[in-house]
Amino acid sequence: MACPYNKIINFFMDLKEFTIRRLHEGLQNKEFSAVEVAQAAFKKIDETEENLQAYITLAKETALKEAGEVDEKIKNNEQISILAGIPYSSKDLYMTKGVQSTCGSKILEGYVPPFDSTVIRKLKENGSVLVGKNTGDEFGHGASSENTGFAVPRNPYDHERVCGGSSGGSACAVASGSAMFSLGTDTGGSIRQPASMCGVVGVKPTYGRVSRFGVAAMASSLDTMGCFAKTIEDAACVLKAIAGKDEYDLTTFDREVPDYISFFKDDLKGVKVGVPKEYFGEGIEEGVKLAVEAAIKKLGDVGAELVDISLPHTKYGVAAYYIICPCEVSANMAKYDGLRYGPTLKDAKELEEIYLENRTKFHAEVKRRIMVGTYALSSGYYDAYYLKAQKVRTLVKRDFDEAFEKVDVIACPTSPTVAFKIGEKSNDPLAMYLGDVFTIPASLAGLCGLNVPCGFSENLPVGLQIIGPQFGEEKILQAGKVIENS
Amino acid sequence: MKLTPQQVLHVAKLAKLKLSEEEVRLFADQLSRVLDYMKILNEADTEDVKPMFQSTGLQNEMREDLVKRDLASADEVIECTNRDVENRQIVVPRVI
Repeated sequence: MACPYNKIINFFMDLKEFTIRRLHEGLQNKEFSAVEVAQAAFKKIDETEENLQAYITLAKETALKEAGEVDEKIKNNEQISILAGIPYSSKDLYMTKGVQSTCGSKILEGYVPPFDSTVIRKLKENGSVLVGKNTGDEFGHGASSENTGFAVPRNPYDHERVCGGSSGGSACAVASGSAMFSLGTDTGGSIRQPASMCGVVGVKPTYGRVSRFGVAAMASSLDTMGCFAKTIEDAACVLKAIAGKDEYDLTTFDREVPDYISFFKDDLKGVKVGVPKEYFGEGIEEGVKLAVEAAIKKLGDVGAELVDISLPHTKYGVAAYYIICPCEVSANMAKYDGLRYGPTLKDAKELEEIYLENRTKFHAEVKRRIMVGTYALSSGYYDAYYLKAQKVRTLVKRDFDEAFEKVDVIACPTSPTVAFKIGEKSNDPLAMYLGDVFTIPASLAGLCGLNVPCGFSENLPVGLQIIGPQFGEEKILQAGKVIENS
Repeated sequence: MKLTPQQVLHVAKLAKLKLSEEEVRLFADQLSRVLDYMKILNEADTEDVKPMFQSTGLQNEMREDLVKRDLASADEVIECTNRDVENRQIVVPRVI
């Protein structure tokens, strides 16, 4: 559809007003070009980045080239994927060939990977356009994106507040409209919690659903690769593209990836939604509780049966996680020794000097977790800490197994609070850890979960968490869609 | 429980971390509080409970030992490194 005023209209294109499907239709109908869509993303970054600090690296040159390639296909009437020409950003833990990947840390400043992570490769094959790499907690260590060698991303709803973490910059990019979707990682809540604090959809798939290859490992038995998007349907499109078995990650399942969008219905008749009493006790802000309870009632209004359930080992989740995670972290962070990549000490006389000098570049939180892990795994402490925590993990999983015999999905808050002020918790690591109380249990059990925005408290976003059984992504997406439509 | 500075330094040495005096004091305090909190796990009855090291249940996942795809060519690896390169070999410090 040619229009002499298209160029003027497209200059004002605001990606916040589009869904992935709408952009796809517009591209196919030649209402605008992929290059124009990419330019709209960079225009938004120009307008907002000074206040939001969502990006460490921008990839404008490669983005416009990738967009141009999509335009060429459209010009030749070739079939394109629904994600072709769609601008996205990525947490900096994902290796992106030819584009700086720092993991948010000075220890990898300047590092340019020679390969793509599997997820990035799949998105490239779909024709998606990478606009840049996002800020966030270093190596995923944190829940506020303040633990970083780079800038701290700011909440689009209140620039004095955090975006949540560790994928804070990614959530911010989608919330502010510079990316149609963004990649994050979720080990104990690092997609769901920032999604809640920034008012966007965030999906944590089942452990083993999406390949971890080429993403800097934090805790290898807990890390999951997922995404942020404005809508549930957008997130479902991305999940379909990135999920699946990968021979480079043998913890992925050889299991078909469903067409998640085909499961959307207008009601939840026949669906049982569990409401766990342990998630509505002390410590949750009143405004958050009210918004979440109202959202759960809406699930009932469209036909779901609300079932009271108990997950009795919830209170042990934070302790179990903050032993298991640092233990695995202490092993994974050992590779950052300054020998093969990242900045390094030249002219060192001893090998030990290189290790010690380079590893001072870690943020304090990374050092803390390495030390907790090293202590808990050391001789004399392994049984009391690590082994005990892994046994408690079994109990947490059992709670969910028993619950999912009675219900299809579980609905609860994502975070006990709305976004807090920058600096408020940075001197109290334990207070920061306790904020993960609602997201950690599903991570320990390897389940799928998502955040869907469900209202506001104090003018800040509140999120509803929907947890599903292993490979229950279609169930949680369906329930999330109902909340979105209400 | 209270970690002593000596314990903090011992753990730091195991983890190849160099800490300033201020960091030793700060971490001794912070880590003590974190490890103190972990005592809550002693309340959980784990008699006859097996540990869960991973959630997939997968075991012995194998693949054929065949190269199907190069992730990066030698030239691409050499181009990306910030280390010195001699005779198309990346120079690193002597380890052994």
